[in-house]
Amino acid sequence: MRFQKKVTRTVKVSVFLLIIMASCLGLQQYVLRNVDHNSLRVEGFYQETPGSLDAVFIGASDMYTSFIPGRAYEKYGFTSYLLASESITSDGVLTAVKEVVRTQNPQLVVVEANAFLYSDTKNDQNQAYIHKFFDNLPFSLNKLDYIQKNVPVDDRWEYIFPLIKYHGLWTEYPERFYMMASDLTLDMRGYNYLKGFRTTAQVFKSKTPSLNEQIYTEHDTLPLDPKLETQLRELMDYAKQNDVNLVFVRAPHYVTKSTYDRVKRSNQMAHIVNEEGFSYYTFESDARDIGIDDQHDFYNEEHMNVYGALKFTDYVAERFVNVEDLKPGFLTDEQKEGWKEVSKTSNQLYRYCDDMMTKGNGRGAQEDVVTLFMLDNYSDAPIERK
Amino acid sequence: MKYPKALTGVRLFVPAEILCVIVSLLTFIIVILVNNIDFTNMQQTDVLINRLAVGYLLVNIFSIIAFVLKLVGFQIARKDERQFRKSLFFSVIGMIFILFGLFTAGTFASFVWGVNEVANLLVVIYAILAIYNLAEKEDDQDVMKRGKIALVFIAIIFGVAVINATITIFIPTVDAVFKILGAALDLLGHAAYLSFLLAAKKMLKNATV
Amino acid sequence: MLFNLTYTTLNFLFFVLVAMLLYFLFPVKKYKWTVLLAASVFFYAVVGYKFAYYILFTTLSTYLIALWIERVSKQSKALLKEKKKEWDKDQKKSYKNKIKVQKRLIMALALVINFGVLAFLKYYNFFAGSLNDVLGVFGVGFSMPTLKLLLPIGISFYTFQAMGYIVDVYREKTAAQRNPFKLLLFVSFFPQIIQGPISIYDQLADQLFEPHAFDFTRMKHGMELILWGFFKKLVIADRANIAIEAVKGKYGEYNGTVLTFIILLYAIQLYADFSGGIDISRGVAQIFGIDMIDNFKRPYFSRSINEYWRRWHISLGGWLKNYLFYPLAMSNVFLNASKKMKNTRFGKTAAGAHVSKVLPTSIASLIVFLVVGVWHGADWKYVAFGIWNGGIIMLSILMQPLFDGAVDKLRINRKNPVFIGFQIFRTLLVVLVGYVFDVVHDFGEGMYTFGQFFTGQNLPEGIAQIGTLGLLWQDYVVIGLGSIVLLVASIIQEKHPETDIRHMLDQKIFFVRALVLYIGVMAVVIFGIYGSGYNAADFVYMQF
Repeated sequence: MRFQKKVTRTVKVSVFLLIIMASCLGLQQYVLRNVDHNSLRVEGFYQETPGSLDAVFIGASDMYTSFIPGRAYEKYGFTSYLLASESITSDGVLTAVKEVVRTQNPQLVVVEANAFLYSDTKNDQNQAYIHKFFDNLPFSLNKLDYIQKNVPVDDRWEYIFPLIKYHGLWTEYPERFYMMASDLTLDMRGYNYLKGFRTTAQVFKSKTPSLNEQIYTEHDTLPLDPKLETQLRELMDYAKQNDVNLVFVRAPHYVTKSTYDRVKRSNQMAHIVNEEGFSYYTFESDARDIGIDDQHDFYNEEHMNVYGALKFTDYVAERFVNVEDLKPGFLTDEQKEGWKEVSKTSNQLYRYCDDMMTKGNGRGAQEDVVTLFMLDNYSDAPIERK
Repeated sequence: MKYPKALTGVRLFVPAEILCVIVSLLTFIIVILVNNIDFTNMQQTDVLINRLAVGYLLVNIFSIIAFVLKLVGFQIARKDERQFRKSLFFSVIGMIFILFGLFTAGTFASFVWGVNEVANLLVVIYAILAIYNLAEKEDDQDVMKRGKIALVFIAIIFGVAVINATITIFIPTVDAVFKILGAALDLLGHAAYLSFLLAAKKMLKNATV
Repeated sequence: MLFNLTYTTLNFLFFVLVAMLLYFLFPVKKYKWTVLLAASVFFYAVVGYKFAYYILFTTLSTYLIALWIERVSKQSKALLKEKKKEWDKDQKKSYKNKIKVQKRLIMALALVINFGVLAFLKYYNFFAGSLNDVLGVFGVGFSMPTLKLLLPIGISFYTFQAMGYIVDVYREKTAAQRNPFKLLLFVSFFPQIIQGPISIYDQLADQLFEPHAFDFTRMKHGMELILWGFFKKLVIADRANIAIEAVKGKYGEYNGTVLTFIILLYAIQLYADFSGGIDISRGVAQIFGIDMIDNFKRPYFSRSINEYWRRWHISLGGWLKNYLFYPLAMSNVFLNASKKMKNTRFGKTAAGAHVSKVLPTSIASLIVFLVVGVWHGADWKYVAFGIWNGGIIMLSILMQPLFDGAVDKLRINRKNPVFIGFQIFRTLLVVLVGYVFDVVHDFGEGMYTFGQFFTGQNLPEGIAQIGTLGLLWQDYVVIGLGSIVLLVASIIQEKHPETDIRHMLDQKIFFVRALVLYIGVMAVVIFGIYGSGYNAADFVYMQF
């Protein structure tokens, strides 16, 4: 009986440990987690079939509020995803590009310039912004590489197991319930309806005058923060070494006096990037051509609303198809059906936000259970621009 | 005959295990073919996909038959040896999780399928232990030895799967190597288990009161 | 610290896992203890490498002096044997006394050196500060300089442990260890270096040096004990500590209700912290096949302060009893004083006879508790703590006949649960008074706190203030539930002192055992205070 006892004991201990592990991973993934729209966006990216995306857009909130992948697919047939995170750091951008190359290797990788245009490295050191992106990345060599280079030894465990940092969130469970439900729903569905797009249904009315007209003729430059410039160069070196078709963009903003220096830094970044042989699309200066209306198309100084996003998407998509030769890749019938759903949902979202803005009810709209529930009342027909 | 019900059970396990071996082989072939599909050649792809569909269908049919055979076998055999009850229990658990897994996707689905894998593992372990108990009562050293070998294979296969899951994070390129190694070990494991069942069948046939 | 190896970190668990694998897989059984030594050296190098020379100095001095004492012993015995027929009784007695004095001087050398280092590092600034205050009162210009002194990790514990060994060698209770590395292992054994328990050489050494094979039941029990320690430390103690720290140094801002609440919370926190740490230490040691003494036996169930100190920090109490209390109480000075008192008029009365009989023990107790107080820290409040406890014990010894008489006259049944409850409650009150000195910033704050207990009670205001101490209501619920679990476990253990809860759990069916352990693990994972969301509290007794 000794042998059987040993085996039974080993089995019982192993199963017990597996159950503990599974419980902890389950808690970490669904319950005790700082889940927000960034989590849903990043997770949704990893749900995409490897090699199925034609373009990936990387950046901060300027990116995920500006471009509508469903619209781009509907009009031009190429698939895309917004691998973006709130105030993403320069390290985050580099890691994101590496992750995109590892999992998708798309025709085009688009990086929004925001992470490199800060006047100092405060954003790069902001723990909240770092965690918003890195906590949601699955375990990978790239993530480990980041942890090893940037995270102090004593804090490393909580980057590898975010449960260590967030287990105290059980006290906030009632408030967080709907985001956790959204997370579980996304996981069980297996794909993100909006491919990372998020907006706020609000029209920004400001007494502060916009300087957007001035941008068109602004050629002055300001130097980038040295560390951020180093990061930018490292990114470009990586792209060259790995043959990544990388382009940089600057999305339109409601530029004011307080944010004008960023325009000059953007000009400097354009010079640096062009020197290295990469393209830099200053769409901020193309706002007139895009048809952006300062008084109608923003929900705050930094972000466009759906009106602006629609115009921007049409403009950018056409530009990339014509200039960057972005072609639709192969999709199975099942995938095509999925993307049709994405386009329809994006159209419903547009109408929903339009309705909200008309009524004056400003709220966030994204891939979550509440928003998706509300969309059922709206038509999914393609949006025709006037 | 000393253990008629156990013998009936084992008689059902043998064909079930043979079907499992066939399913393993088919799955292995399908995996290789799917990884080598050239989606740019639509004509070739269509033909290949049709063949793969047949392959998938066969895999599913064989799996269901094997499952039913084992389930019935455990139900009958448990009357002669208690450990078979645990195999039966975990078979049912595994089935519930498979059904649940059909309606899920993403990380949740991986978790559900993981539970199913562990349940299948426990089914085999407790089946081996049950037969081992009978062999110990009959003092059949050959069956006992084969049982130990089968368990060792199970442990190695599980270990390789865990190492694969860990190492491929750091060295993605070895994923293919580990998959092939895993498949080979899987086949050897099945062979060891089959050999154990055949020896057990012989032992139970010859076991007299 | 090079990196964090506190007992409640993942790093520590990983370290124990590696040490465990190395120990049980080590091929040469005779030298398995070297793995423990390597692990202990590594542990100390990580947590206290800056002061490693202190522990090495203690080990080396202890090693050499123990050998010296033993050599003197052996030589003297050999000589006595040689001169057995040659010397008369007086000569032999004289020689024996001479050797005894010699050995005592050598032992004293070890004690003076090592306790001297401890005393200097721990008490110099306190002494200098106090002296400067006194000199200042008398207008003396001279002042002693204060130095920036840091205490090496575990110095109180390993010094006491090493000196206990020296005394045991002197008393010939144990042979001197010839292998310096084995002695180093005894002094620096990593599960106990941070906060004890303080082990006796005889009890621990053999276990350390004997090779232990892997035993599943022992490992399981060890891990269960570690889990229990984690639960007490991370779920209860560290959570309660958040509120206690919020009030520290600001007692004047809170009313009596809050201060009462804080002292009660402190009682829970201190016990959970210290006993939790000890459980982790013992659990780790048990995995390696080493049984360390349990430092706690449900102290809050004590019926007298005497009993409390037999149940609280048992190893320190045991050490002081063996190496300070008995030598004092049995010393000629005390025994002669007792005899003298017996021969006085007072001594011939019934009360006087009792007092003269117990005088040595009661004064020795007071001295011992003065040492206990001072051992806890270099501040007058710890002196007050020692005097309070020692004073109560001294009084209770002296007045025992009075209490017994009162109980008999009132015909109180000593086994009556109400009476037992009264005794427990009374003891708890005395202990809580002592805790006030422990937790306040200084003596003045302590006095203020006592005043507030009586004059500063205001429940609504107190509850509002409690809400501002950094804990949510959910945290208080967790502390409450955790304390209930602790209480229930203690009651079960108290009712079955012959066994322990782990053995009782082993008797249950597998599903029940697994469920209990699963709940324990998940409770620690979900409710534990760890990670960067919280400031992890060091173990309370680490500072000693």
